[in-house]
Amino acid sequence: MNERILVREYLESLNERDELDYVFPILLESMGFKIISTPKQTQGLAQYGKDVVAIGEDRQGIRKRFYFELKGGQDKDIIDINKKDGIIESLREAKYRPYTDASNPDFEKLPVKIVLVHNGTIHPSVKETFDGFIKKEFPKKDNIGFARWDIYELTNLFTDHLFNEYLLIDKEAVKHFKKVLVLINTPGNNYNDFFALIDFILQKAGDLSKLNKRRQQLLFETLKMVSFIVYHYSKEAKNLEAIKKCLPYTILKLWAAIVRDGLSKNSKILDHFNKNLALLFQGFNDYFSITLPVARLKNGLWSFKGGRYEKIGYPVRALDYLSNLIVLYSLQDHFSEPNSPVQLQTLIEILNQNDGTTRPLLDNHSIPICLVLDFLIGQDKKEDAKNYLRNVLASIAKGYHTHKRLPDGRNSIESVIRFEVTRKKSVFFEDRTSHLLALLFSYIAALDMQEEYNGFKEFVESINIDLAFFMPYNDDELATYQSQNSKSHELHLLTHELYQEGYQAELRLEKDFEFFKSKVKNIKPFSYPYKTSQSGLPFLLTLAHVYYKTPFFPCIWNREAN
Amino acid sequence: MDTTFLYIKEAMDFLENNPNVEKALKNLVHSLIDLKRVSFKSTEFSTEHSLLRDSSLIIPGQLDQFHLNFDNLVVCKVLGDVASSIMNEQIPKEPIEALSFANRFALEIRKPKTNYYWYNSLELKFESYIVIFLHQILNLDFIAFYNSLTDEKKAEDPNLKSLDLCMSNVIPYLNNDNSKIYSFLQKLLQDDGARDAVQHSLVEFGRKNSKKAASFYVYCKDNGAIAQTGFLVHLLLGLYETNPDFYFEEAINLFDQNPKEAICTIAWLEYTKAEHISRAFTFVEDKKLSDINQLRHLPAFYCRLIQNKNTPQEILNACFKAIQKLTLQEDQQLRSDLVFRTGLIKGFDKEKYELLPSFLSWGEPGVIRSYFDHFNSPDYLFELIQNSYLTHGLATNIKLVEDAVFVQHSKNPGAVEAHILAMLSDDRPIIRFGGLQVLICKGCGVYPVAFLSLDEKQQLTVVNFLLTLPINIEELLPLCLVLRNSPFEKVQQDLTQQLNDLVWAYDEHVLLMMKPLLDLSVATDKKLYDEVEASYLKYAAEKELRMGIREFDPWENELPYVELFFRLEHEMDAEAMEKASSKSVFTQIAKSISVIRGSAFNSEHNHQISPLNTVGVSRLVDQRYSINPDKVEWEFKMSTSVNH
Repeated sequence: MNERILVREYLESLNERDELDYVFPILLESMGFKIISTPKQTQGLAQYGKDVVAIGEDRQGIRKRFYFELKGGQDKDIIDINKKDGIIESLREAKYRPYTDASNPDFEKLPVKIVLVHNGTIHPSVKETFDGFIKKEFPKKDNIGFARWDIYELTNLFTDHLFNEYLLIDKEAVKHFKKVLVLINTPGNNYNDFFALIDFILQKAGDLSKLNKRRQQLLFETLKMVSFIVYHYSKEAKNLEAIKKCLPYTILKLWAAIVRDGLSKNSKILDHFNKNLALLFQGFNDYFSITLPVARLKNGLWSFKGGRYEKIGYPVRALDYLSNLIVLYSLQDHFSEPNSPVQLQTLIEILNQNDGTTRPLLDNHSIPICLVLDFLIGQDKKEDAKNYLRNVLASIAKGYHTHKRLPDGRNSIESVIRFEVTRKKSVFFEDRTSHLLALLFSYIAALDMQEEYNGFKEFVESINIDLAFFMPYNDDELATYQSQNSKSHELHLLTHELYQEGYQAELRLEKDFEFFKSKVKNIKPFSYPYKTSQSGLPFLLTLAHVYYKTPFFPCIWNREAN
Repeated sequence: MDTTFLYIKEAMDFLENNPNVEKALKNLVHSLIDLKRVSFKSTEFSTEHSLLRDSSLIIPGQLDQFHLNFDNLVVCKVLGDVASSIMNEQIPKEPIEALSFANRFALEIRKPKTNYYWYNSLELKFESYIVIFLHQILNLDFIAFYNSLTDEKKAEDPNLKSLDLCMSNVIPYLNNDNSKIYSFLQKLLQDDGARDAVQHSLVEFGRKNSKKAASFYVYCKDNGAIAQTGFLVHLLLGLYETNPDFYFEEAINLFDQNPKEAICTIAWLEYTKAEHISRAFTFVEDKKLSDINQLRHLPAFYCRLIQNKNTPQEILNACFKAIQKLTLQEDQQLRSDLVFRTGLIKGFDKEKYELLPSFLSWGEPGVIRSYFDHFNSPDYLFELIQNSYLTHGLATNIKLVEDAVFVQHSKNPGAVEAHILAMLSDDRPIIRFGGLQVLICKGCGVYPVAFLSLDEKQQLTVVNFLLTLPINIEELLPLCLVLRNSPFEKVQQDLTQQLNDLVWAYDEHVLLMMKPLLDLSVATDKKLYDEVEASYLKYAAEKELRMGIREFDPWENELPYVELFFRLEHEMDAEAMEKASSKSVFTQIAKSISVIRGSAFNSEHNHQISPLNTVGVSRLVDQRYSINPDKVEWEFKMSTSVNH
């Protein structure tokens, strides 16, 4: 019973019309309906009382064509049925305006049922009038059925067909789900409850290849639903940060399960997966639509509210922003026509306006740096790439000369904070070995920056740092060196930050720059037959690096050298 | 008018024959008591001043001040009469009661604030006069009386607390024979606390009663005083003033019997003849002293010769050379005395400055602190400061010269301010930085400087330097704001631009600091204010836009890190406070109570609730610093590098 209250409260909270437009088709699909058209598809066109058109079975098992009229947002409660462009008009249009669908040959033969869907209630003062209207407009003899799904009906439907399948099946699931709802936008939330919920859902699903089609579909819809809940509440709280933290987790875990169970080439599965991916794209789009105008301002990524904390907060935030911006670009390229000039201009503007983007404080800030350099090089902007790299090198040197600080090799923001405030390095602060610097030197080589090589080499040698990069084990090596570990490299990459699943390969600087260049060029790249790439979704690997903070492998950063 | 007497009887006769003097003195004594101050303005007491100024009855002070000479018997006699009048009793005949009379009189004239001793040494001198009075007028053998007192009696009776010092003052006035005086002084010398007073009394003996002192000198020499430290020296110092030639030879001849005492005497004689000075200097040089006990007197010798107006030029130069040679000595006591006395020399700026490297070679930069106090001008001080910044850059410790700058500013404010201006407008960044350090080293506030007196280039340098610094804006902005009245348009433009930029550093505080300093009824001031306000409004609009983006709010999205940062900062501040307060004498002796909850506290002994007070100075911090502190510090370091 409590669970239904949860669901009802969630549905009631859908304030905007398009939110109801989004979740309702999910429900229909989980109920086994075939969607013919949705509001998104008909956006901008006259809908004539048919927001969603679908084919499905009613309670009696009779197959019908359903015309759903959705009323959400300000219109969710039926208070006045006589207003212009209101319910009466929509229902009449639904009844009298024909709808055809040539792709379903028996569409026109199916009986019609018109359903008014609203996530509110009908006011008692208008109910009698409304019922009278319905009785008159939809008499039984006309063979056009009518139903009204109010908040209570929607609650039952969502609970029975969607939430009860994976989300509310036992106490543990309910506990995680409740915590997600309650804590979603609490400051300091680490979203562990959300992660636990996703893991729980996938664990309950088990081997995806063994699920029947319906349960497969329900799984995807449930995950999409949960992601949408996060998206919805984030929008309500006017803080979309949770989208960046939560949605990629769902995508990566789901994709890992797909790869694990050998379904990465299954078109139906891919279709379902793309719908989940589309939500991530939408979320990222919304996030960057809101934040880019500010990020483009001078030091726009620096926060007035952070005070002295911004010494650390600003560069960490700025570099994280860059990573996710590049991920957005990948999603844009996947879902729509690539618009490289706009993407490039935006990126360069952000780099120019925010010097926090050039100040790595952690070793794994190699990830955004690498993404930016690769993007600029890929867009044939080598000079911009060089300038950016120079700024990064200068920042690292200045950080050392002024505060004796190098990027922390253990990637702990807490250690960096401790060092910044107390001026003492904790025992956990690691700056004797650096993967970041190795990476930077490889780009120096790739971009043929001899002067910078000599200068930075002198600096590195003066502070006596070991350079190395992280090389992951391939599957054979995993079997050899991590025999207790049965997962493939790809699955490791898609599910967590790689740490034990690889080795550190030393990189030594050479006196002669040309010799160093050729050495770097000849480093054997990490090559792996990623199923993710074979499925046409290589950007998911990038997302995995960005999200789990696994530094890029040689196959990425010496692309230019090769 | 001869007013120096050794006998009260003579003083009484003088007063009887000079009633106007007595009247004047009485008036001054009464005024002193009524006004509760020891100095008089010659313009306020012009009649008395005119009458007495050529006598030893008054001593001129600073500017147009003078005060009564209570070392003079005439003045003390008048004081005694006034005291009797006020106390309505005569000076008692019995010694302890007489001294009590003096103490009671002193208490009476201190009233109503009996703890406020406004009269300096008047009480002691009056007590001394009473001893002389009892001895000379009532024929009391005070030495016998003194000898009759036990140590316990002297310790217990408050009227006897200053007796030793009194006795030292009265030596020149005693009628006792030499042996008695000699024995008495030897007894006094057993008390280390009376040593200085005894030595002073020997000097005064020679000065005031040279005839008796001369015979006393012979007696002392014949009775072992030659071997004694600090005895004959002081007698000779006093006697020299009355018969320089004879006693100078005595001092020289003393060397064969007691070289240390001889050198001490030679060092401290108040030479009045150039030939004595030359001979003394040559004598010391020829002796090639090596005994540290003798060498320790040389700093005083050379420094006093330098300050003596009778010293020939060649001796003067030789003294400075000799001082430099002394810096090679490693004895700590000698070194301390040497640098101290050299610092006391008035004038001779160039010579003293040239000696400074020798002092600094000791490795104790603290020698600088008081060294410049008696320089005639701050020129050399600022030369030192600039050279320090050019050599050591940011490592220069301005605290070493803080006091010197303060003292020089009190003496030569215009010159110091001119130097500060010159540094602030220098082409070299490190010098400008040094100038800033000097500007703000005042302690409370900053030294006043007139930027408008600079030329255009200098004004531009100043405004573009000071307002870009991330510190001390509360002091620097008011100083720079005067440049709004600069006759140079470019200066005004740069000032406006810098103020506009400062909005990003200090938010609305820029306007809040500017407003009280401007007169908005003046068109130019209003224009400036309006321009900066426009910048602020633009900034505020952008700030509001950015603060509305909750995705970038660290308090929402990075809370654990933010909390860790400020918690650690708070801990560091608390540790620093505890460390600082542990050095405080007050906190060491006071019990400290930690209040862990609540805004006030009380205790069982004191039920009154005492609120906690916060003590602190609010300082504005440039918020742009947190954007990229590495870059700010790097650029600052580079711009102020000695190699820049």
